[in-house]
Amino acid sequence: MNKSVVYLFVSVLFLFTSCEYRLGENFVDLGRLQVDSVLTDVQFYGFAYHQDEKAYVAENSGAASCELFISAGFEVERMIVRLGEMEWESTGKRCDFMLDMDRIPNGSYELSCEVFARMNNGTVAGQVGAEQYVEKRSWPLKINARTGSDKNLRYRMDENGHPEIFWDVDESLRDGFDHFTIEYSYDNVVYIRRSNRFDQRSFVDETYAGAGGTYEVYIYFKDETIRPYSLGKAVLDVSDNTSNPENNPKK
Amino acid sequence: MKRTILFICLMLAFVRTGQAQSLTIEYNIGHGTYQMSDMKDILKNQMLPVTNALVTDEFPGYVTQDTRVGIEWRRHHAGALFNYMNTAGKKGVTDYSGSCNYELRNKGYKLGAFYRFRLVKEEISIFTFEPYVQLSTGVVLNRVHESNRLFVESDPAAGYEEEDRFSGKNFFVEPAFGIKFGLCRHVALNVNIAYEWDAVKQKHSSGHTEFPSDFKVDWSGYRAQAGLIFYLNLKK
Repeated sequence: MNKSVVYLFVSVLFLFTSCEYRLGENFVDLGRLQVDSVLTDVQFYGFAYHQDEKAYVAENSGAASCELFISAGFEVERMIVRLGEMEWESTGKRCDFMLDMDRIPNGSYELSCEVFARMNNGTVAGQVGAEQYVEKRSWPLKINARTGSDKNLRYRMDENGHPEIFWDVDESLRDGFDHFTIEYSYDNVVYIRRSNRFDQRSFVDETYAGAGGTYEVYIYFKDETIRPYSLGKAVLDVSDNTSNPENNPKK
Repeated sequence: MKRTILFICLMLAFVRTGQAQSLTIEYNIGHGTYQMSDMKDILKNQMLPVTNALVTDEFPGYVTQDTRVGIEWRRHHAGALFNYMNTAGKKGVTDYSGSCNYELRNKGYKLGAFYRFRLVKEEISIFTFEPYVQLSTGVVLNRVHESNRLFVESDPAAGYEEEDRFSGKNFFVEPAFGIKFGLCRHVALNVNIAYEWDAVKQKHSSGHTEFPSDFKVDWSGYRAQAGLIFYLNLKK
């Protein structure tokens, strides 16, 4: 009988400890979106992507922006655009920023866009602001800014009616020199010629059709961080068929 | 507690005087319903940081367990009891991203005494049939465990877990009607139905700012139990 009493008490103790009410669960099956990427596309405005360099290239100061295109079912909480050590943040799908070439040395940088998104279907994590879908994309960016000049270049019209543009370069730049560009702009169209000869000091445009326009000569350096600059410009009028009066070379 | 010890002492004295016929040890398992009106209000009004939280459990009836030790003589049966009840309430929501739940788990430990009066004793073959009425009384020791949890799977640091515990006492009275089926000299099957009335309920206080300043745990409700009674004959 004593054994029976012990068994009884052990059984009762076991039942006491095991019979605890089991709570139910309010499980909401929201259906998780199975997507590989939150972003479908990212577009930058204010500078262009150069296929030949496989990089974005920015040459001028000005307003720029980044626009996100996101997969259906997601909502952007914030986005961060980074360029080198600079950072811009936005709470929408678009982030506007300013590129100030005076503050960014020429060179290659990483341009990145990081997006923090959530699903707008009312998950627990979403409601308490802890839902995190983070995606980052990055691209190479080249800053190829150039310094302009108000200096007028000498020019003359040869016997065939072609303009010959003259420029001067300090001899001390020979070692670091990479190339010149001679850029003819007319009616919002730019034609660029390139010369790798440091000793070249003039250029005859044999394709000139007498329509006027502006010639501007830039000097580029081997070290990409040294900003190219303009050696000056020559402005030709439509009626101009001789030379610029101020800088006419002495014959 | 003092009253229970006093009662046990009286029982032992009673045994020694030679009046008692048998010592009984009893175990019953059953089902109880619970009032818990204050607790239901707390659960309903609990503010959570999610909008789609629902009350999933509102202190439903659940298993009760009961042990009794007593002395039986002639038509009378009296002794001490220990009973365990538990139930819980929950409001919350769970999805693949995490969960937000508020839970209140109540446990009641009943300590008291009972008196049982046999109405009649019918013998059928070797079995006996004994309807009885019973009155139990004593204290309920309440234990309330409150927990408030937010879990975010992708960012566990964003979650929280707050827990609190409360305890208090109720005084209960429980009239019952039951039947004992004597299976042999030493064992009887017991079934009964009862109603527990928590006549005095102690207020539980909390320092929690979001929790109401006081509430009562009300175990009042119907009971239905069945079990076995073991007899140790004291007289040959």
